Amino acid sequence: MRRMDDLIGEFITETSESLATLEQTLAGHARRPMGRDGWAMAYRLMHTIKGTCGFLQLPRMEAVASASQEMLASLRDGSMTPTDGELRALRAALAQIRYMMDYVGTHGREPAGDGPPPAGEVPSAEPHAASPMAPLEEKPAAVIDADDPFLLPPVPPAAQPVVHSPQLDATPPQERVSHATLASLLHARNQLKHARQSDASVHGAQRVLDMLVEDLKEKLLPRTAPATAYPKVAKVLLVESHGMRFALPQSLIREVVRIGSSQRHAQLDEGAMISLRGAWLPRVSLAQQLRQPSSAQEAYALVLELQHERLVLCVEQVGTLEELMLQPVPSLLRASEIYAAASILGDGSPCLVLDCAALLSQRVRFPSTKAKQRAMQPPAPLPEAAPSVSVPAAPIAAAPPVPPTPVVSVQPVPMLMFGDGTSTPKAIVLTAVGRVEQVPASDVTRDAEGYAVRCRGELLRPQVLPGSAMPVQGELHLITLIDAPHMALVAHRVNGILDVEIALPEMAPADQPILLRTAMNGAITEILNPRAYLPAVQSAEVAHG
Amino acid sequence: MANTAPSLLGTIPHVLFRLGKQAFAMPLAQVKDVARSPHITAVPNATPMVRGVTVLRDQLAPVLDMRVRFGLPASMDASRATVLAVDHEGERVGLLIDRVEDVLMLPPSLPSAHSKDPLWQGVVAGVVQREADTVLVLDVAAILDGALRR
Repeated sequence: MRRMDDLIGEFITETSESLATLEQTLAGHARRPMGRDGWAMAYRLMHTIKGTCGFLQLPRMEAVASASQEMLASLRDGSMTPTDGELRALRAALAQIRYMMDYVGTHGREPAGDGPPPAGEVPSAEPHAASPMAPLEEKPAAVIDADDPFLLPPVPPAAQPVVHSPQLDATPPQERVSHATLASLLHARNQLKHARQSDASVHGAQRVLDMLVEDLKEKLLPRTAPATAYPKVAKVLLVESHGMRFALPQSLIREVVRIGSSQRHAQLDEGAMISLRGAWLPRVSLAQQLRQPSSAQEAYALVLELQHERLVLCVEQVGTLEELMLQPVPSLLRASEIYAAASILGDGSPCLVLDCAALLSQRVRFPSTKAKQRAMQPPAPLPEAAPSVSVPAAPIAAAPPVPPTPVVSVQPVPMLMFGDGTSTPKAIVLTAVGRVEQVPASDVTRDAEGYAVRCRGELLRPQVLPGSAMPVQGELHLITLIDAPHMALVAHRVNGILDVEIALPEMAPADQPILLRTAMNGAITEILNPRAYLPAVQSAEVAHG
Repeated sequence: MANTAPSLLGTIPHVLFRLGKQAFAMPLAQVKDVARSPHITAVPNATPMVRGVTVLRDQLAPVLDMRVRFGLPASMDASRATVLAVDHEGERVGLLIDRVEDVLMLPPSLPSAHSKDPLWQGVVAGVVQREADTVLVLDVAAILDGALRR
């Protein structure tokens, strides 16, 4: 019997992790559609869950897992398209499995009955979800109107898998509110904050969401636990800030770098950035996250990755790797969303585990997605005597060509400074730059269409600036623009980033490769016009003109 | 739930403690441990009344600064204070107080106290006079419920 308890415990731990991975995968699919490999991975996880359920004689869970596995097989093989309905069904199935798994953990057996549990018992992953086995019934009465488009966002990556605590099981079903519901509301509210503030309907919706979120928080926090598999063992890396120790899950740490003079920093409207190995990544300070005074001694950069999004967390000290027994964050601390779990270190002192999803959620989609969102919007009509506008990121987009406008920006503009082998240094606005890669010159080949180089598995078309030449030996830098990911400007060297207070033309035609010649950093520098290097804009302007 | 049944003499033992000059009491049965000079680790981003976390009998526990809860200046030196360990909804919580003074035997029913001050509403189960002191008997569960909602 003891052996069976151990097996059940292992099953719950492993299945909980598999479900969390599947939930994150499905949430990530909403933003970045998965390919066959992604669906195959999801299929394998579900296959394992189903097999283990069968071994442990848990027929109800096995039935739901089997149906989900069949659906994932169809998605993997391409015989089924992952529509919103299919994704909702899968999320509902995951919620059902999680509910039954928690029940097994609490009671040592499945809930009584056959087939999937009725919707009233299951903490819904989202309103109106339907499982592959059977459509769920109406949502709980406490969940707000699902017909409102603002309340139907994809489940955000930060959403914790939720299982109700034993206390919650005694709560009337109509009062149950899941963490996923609250997370969806928070996600919708965050999205609305990025909407146009002048839109009265958006403003009204945001106020409604604010009230709903506050209302749901009261119903949710005292009654639910953020995770079910506690206590569980995890490897963590200890870090320090202002003498306080915190832990980060090792599985989410991709790299630890000592910050030196080789790293470049930039402060943009969206926040701070740091260059690591030729790529610009959003950067946050642990001290700032903890609302402590900024620390000038943050000497280590931790590259965190979750769902293909990366973030650099700067800390003062990096400690040791430890294997800790994690437990839920105490209820009194749950209002602070920065903590994911708690534990006791080997020396007997308490330690809190930072919530990487919460850290990442502040800066994900930055900067490319935001820039692309701007790019998708037509240029806003400018008042006749507009005093100033922001840096020229939006006009770089492949928007319909418009005549040059003499409106200028006098705000500090971050510039990427580089040399192209000529005597005149070059600069380009940093907001237009998607990535800077360093590659050996020997990797560059030439075909009928021009230069070509394979970089990160993709074919890039390097473009040499007028008057410059392609390096034939050593290393070269490829500057990819956000809106032309398959083209790269060739730089012989990258000199860094400089904040320049300068008046730039808001919009320049594509046939004007140089925006301005000016003295910068002690040298006459040419500021490039990014529009001149965007193939879509060039062809559009040629057609127009 | 804590055992608050009266003893054979019809009284319930209470812990008498102080925050500044004010005397408080709470049922002894609710107190799982008394820790003097505990090491409290600060928790950034927590609500002001949460002083930090500590480990009480191998259990991690947030520490509620009762001075802040009742509008008094925070304990300047927590290392000289005392923590009462209580359990609330399955979790261990530490209550940071100035000092424990005594154990009182109080009758099951006490004169009630009402206040319009939000700080005191619903958290005082009764009032008892002890020599020159007015002792406020606390409803700890109500205090912790309120702290969770903040």
